[in-house]
Amino acid sequence: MSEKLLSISNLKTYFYTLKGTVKAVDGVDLEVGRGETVGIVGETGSGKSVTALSIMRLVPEPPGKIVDGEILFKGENLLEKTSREMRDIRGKNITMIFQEPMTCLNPVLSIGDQISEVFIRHRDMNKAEAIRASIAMIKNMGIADPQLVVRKFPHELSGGMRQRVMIAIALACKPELLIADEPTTALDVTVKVQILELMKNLIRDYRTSLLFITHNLGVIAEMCDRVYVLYAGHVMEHADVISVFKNSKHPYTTGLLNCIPKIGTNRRKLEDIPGSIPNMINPPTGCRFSPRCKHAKSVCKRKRPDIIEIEKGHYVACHIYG
Amino acid sequence: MENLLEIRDLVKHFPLRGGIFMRRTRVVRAVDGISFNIRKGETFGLVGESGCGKTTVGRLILRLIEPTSGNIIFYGRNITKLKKKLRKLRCDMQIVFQDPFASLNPRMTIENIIEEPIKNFNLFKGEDRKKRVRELLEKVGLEAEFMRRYPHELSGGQRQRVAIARALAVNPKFIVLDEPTSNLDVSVQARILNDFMKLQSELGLTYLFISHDLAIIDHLADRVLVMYLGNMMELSTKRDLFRSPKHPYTKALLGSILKADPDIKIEKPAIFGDVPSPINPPHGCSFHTRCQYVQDICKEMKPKIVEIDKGHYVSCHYPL
Repeated sequence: MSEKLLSISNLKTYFYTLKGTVKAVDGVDLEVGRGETVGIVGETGSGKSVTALSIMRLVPEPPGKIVDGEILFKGENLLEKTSREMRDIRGKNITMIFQEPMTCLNPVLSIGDQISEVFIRHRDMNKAEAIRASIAMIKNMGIADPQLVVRKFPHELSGGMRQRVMIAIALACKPELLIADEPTTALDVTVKVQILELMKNLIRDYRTSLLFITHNLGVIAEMCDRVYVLYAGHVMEHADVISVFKNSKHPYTTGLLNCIPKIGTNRRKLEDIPGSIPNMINPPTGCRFSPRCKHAKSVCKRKRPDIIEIEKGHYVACHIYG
Repeated sequence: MENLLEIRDLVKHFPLRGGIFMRRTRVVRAVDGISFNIRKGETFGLVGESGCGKTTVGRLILRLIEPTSGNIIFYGRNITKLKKKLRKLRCDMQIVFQDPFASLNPRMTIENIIEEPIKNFNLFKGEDRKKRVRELLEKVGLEAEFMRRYPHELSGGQRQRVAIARALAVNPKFIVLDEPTSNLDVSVQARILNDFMKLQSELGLTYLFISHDLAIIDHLADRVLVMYLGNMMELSTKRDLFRSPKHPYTKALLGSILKADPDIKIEKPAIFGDVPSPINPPHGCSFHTRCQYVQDICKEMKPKIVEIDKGHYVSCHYPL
């Protein structure tokens, strides 16, 4: 890995609800290098989105709270920043795009207004300069007729176009880190491929690091250099993308890879993972995957496995290797 | 093989109302003249992007919505105009919806949900009915203790299995599966897909499987229909469709599959642009605005669907 840009250690983000404390993220360590694309993959409730929101300091408080840990961005702990300092960082140094662009764009402001807001806030441009910069930005997104599009409103655009606008807003200030939370999940397959291609080219041109969050293993394989596999708020395995897909070590990762239908599997019985995702108010003790794991031993239910490096750069949290 | 269903020139236009008197202003051409057969015992895959009309086709076949024109023939009987006898038909045709949150009544217990169709058709009474509900739960892999629970106590996968049990309650011959796993996690999806295959061979069911996910269609289907903006693009056996697609759109869809293999990357997007609005679909071939092989004739004339190989139909002026 190149120079560290983001380094998270022992992050714990809990939600205090009437029914009890939801330990959504429970001791996650994660690193993103400069220029690197890192994937976080996991199912519902794995804590992948909460990890992203914690980095942005956007966890709704209450009920949520970052109770422990450290998020170092260029060596500075984001958890110690004031909200004013965070506002300067968001949109300029770290930006984020979400799954559903329609809910993130303001329906009563034109596209031009929404992109230029970033330039006005972070680049001290006046309105005219900002609109000009916005048009250039839209053009970079591969949108035809940028002059026309700046005057349009979100409802006039298709899903793919809206997501391009979101990307334009996110990349307007050439941030060092872009966090993308399921950015292509709501899009059609042929559009999805175009958006991924666009993101790939842009982050390369802008030298932006990308933290890509998705449940779709196909998207991870297409986009990422390194991958973290999350389950129930714990990191199960992390390594470079080839090792994770070709040489997975954690039973959960292997299970995930085996249970997706692939072209040519032709009605063969798919391997499944028995049981369902645990209740996060009362998560299983020890390894959180142990109730669903076919290799589970008694130690798995007692003790949370340490994450250990079993091959160079390949980390696994499983008692099989302990 | 015998045809279970024959669909002839099925059309559905949804009127859009607007203006101060809510007059019909325009129509959405959701389904614009499609014809196909579904054979007894097969899994017929229907694939396409959003707005292609795949869900509308499923609902038209079940007569949940009324077609604008065209005919639906089920077991040799034209069911397009059935009125009173339609109720009886529900015993033969059932549906599993995409969102198991929305399709189960939150105020009913699982037992009530599953026994409702049994009651409606007077199939079993008293203890027998209870036994039947238990049997159905067992078939979909849920324990009998779920009978007293409510939908909110169940996970997404469990809820979807309840929806399947409810569909099976009246012993249907044909089930429409409308994106039944797209709201589920992959580890849960695998089990539901396995269940569908198992139930099909046990009960001799015929499926119409609607999905946008080509990998699932390839996994389950025997024959596949590709739709785009309400039109049929290509229809063939799964094998032929995936090995030698004849329609440029099918080829583009296949080229957009993201494989869970970091060694196989998509070099460049197969097609550009978004799906046009079905309110104002392109003239001629509906795909011509995004087709890389487009010629002048494609912009003016809608291609007819022709059989270019045995059982392989394509609607394109210049098939690949």
